[in-house]
Amino acid sequence: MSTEQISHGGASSIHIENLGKEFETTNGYESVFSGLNIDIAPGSFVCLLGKSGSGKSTMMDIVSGILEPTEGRVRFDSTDGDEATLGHVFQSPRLLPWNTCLQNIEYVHENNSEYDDTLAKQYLDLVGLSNHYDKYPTQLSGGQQQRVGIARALSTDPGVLLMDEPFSNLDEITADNLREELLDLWSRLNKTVFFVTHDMTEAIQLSDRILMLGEGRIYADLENPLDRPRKLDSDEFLKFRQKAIDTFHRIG
Amino acid sequence: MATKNSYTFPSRNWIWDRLGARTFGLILGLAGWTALASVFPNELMPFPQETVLLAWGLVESGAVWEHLGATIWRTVLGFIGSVLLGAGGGILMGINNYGQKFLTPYTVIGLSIPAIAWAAVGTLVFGFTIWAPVAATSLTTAPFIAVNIWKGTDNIKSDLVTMSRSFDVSRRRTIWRLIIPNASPMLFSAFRLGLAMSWKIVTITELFAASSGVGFKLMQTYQLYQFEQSWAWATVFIIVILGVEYGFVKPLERRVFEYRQDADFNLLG
Repeated sequence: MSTEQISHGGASSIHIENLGKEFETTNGYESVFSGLNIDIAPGSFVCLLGKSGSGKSTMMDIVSGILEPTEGRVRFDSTDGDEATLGHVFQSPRLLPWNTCLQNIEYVHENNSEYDDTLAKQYLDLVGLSNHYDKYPTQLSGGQQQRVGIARALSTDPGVLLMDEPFSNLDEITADNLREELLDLWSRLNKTVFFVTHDMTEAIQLSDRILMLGEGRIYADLENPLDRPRKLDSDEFLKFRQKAIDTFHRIG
Repeated sequence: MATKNSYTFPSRNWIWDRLGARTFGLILGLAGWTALASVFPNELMPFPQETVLLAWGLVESGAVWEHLGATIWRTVLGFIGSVLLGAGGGILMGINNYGQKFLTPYTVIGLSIPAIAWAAVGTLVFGFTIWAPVAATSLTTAPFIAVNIWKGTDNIKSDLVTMSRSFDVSRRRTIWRLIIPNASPMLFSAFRLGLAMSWKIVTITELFAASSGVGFKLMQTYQLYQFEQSWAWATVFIIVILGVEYGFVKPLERRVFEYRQDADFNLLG
């Protein structure tokens, strides 16, 4: 399956403006973060890095519209002038277990009058699941389930692909294969990817830019200087990784 | 995909391998019946083959269709009534906090009232009409269905709901494609329980609040000391219940839960 056969719109930019979120606790209101301002260019691959509890997933939920912010807003600008659409890949695949792979993709196309199974099959082909159209999630491995999750998100032709630690529940070999496949898809499909992770190596391997979240703010914004493809054992990779780790440990 | 029949105990037993657990169980049951029949007087407890012949005689005479038809019709009506009451209450308790608090005491009370009490009340209110067993069945079974459905709708997978929201899936589609299928094991369990209870309660009510039906015939033959006839009616009833279970409920269950590849339906019999 070539990506040329799949019609796709342009990438969108993300503008996070003065964003803040508080949760009500037994001790009153507790701020997760406040006053966040981030601009992400269309077609870029940006990783949001932070420790557990730093608010990464909360920010992802706000960007995707699942959560309402306490203050500020998130804006998307589509390069082709259309309304920006989002595709979300979660930490767990979040597939309907009583539906097949095709039906899981069809489920999110409620408002797409032009949808037919050909579209779902194209995206399942794209993620290497050509022989699994009619299989149920329980018949697939964890990596294959996550591939269906990626196909589902891409099938909506999103301007922005939101990925919330999508490979953290997989074994390292499967996760590494999926990272390579994701980079291949990203280079071919022209999507803006906003990727949450707590894994520094993963962030450096994948992204153009790394945002570090901690203590309720973005405390570091690193441009990734490494050329693609990136070799994880190269001197440049290890040197940049060490620099990023040093920066990361400045907080907490 | 999980391998089925991975438990090894039954497959190593030659009886299970050759006859199957169901056939073996049936043969063991008939053997026990025969053993008891040889101990008790024949008019009190006839042998299985005699009972089957008597039951066949009831079929041939046409008496079965009149009384079995009446029992089935009451069971169906009672089951529908209990599903309407139980499902309505259960869904309300599952999706609405106020509804849960409002209905919980009634459910608890309903669970503790015996069928015989509702049967007596039903007879007082409706007399010897079809509505006495139907009302008794509906009121006895509904709380059990309500509790099962309440737990089914209460146990919604929140991560799938948030996934739906993130892809702008409408509330209606989420209910039909996510919430109802998610609750379907509990719904199925509730309906199965409701049907099983309805059979029993209709029969109990027919013992003294009807002039037709299998329960009525059981009581009538008992009062006339025709115990072999009682056994024949009971046998007909058991055959029908097993027919419903294996001819309708189990195939439906396999169809509905086809996606649960790791479930071993052989464990269910």
